[in-house]
Amino acid sequence: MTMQTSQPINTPKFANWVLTKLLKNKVNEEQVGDLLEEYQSKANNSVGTANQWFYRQTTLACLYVMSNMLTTERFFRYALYTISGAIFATLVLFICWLSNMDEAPAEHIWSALMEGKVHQLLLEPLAWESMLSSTHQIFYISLYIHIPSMVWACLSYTGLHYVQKKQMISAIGFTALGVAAITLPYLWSLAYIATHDLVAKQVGPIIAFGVISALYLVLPVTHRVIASNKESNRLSRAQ
Amino acid sequence: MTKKESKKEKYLGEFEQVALLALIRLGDQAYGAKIRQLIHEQIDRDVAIGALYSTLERLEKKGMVTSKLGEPTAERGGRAKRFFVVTASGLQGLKRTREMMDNMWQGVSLFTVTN
Repeated sequence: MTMQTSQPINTPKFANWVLTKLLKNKVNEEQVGDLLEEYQSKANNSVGTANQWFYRQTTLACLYVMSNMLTTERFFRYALYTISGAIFATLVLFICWLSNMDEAPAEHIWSALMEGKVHQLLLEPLAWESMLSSTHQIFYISLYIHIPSMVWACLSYTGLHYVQKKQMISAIGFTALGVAAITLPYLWSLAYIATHDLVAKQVGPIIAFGVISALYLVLPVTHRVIASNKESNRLSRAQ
Repeated sequence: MTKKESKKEKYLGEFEQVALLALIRLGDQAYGAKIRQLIHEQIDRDVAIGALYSTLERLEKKGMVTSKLGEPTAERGGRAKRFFVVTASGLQGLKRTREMMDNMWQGVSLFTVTN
């Protein structure tokens, strides 16, 4: 409800813009009206103090809206999908780079590869440079087919589906299980390479198991974890 | 739901109690700006406008508060006031919470000297 003949109120322009335009859908008309009324009463004594107060209230309103956004279920969902999508894309790129690699760009990168330390490589700018320059290479689908990883992914996914369907575990426990399903093959590959004396040809399939299993599982497990959290929140709201 | 659980759900949070008490004290002048002023004067708390409305809306959903829009005024940039009133259920909630706190305080002395 808005009156047509309103007298001008000299609130600080930027703060007013933040409240009425930027936070238009988050701060309703009555709330803005309350702030303007308080501003007017303070401005009668001192405009400077009133302006300071208005900026403070605008900041508080922004912080409140932001904290609400950060704790909302939707934000959590988008954040998880974005992270898992980024991991998926990185693994696709990494597998293509590794499969087409003729020569490692540096000695320390080769050493990290021989130790199966993919996480270390992904923190290495030179490895990223090399990976991104290899994007012109053809992404053969066959590069991503690995039978042991498929078996692990199918077993893990079926197990997670069963656990979720039978409601055997809390949402946090289910998330922990999902993370374990994705990371266990990689952790196993690290441990296996560290405890065996292997040549380059033998290391490849072991890294492949760790990395391709994660590739297969990261998106479906993320989806399951989000569904599990959604269901848990729905139940707690219903109680 | 057991009787104990249903009672437990109806205990109010600290800020819910503050907001309801402010509404009672302000009577028919209970709207956002006045509620915030009273809270600031009485307990020196500068609560974000969004946090206050969020609490009042939650109480309204629980049936402890009702609200209605007033007339727009010039000093508010032509925006209307939203007036809030505590319902019987809100009064009951306050009473129950106070009784619970009184029970917890029984036999407690903060002047006991401990080593």
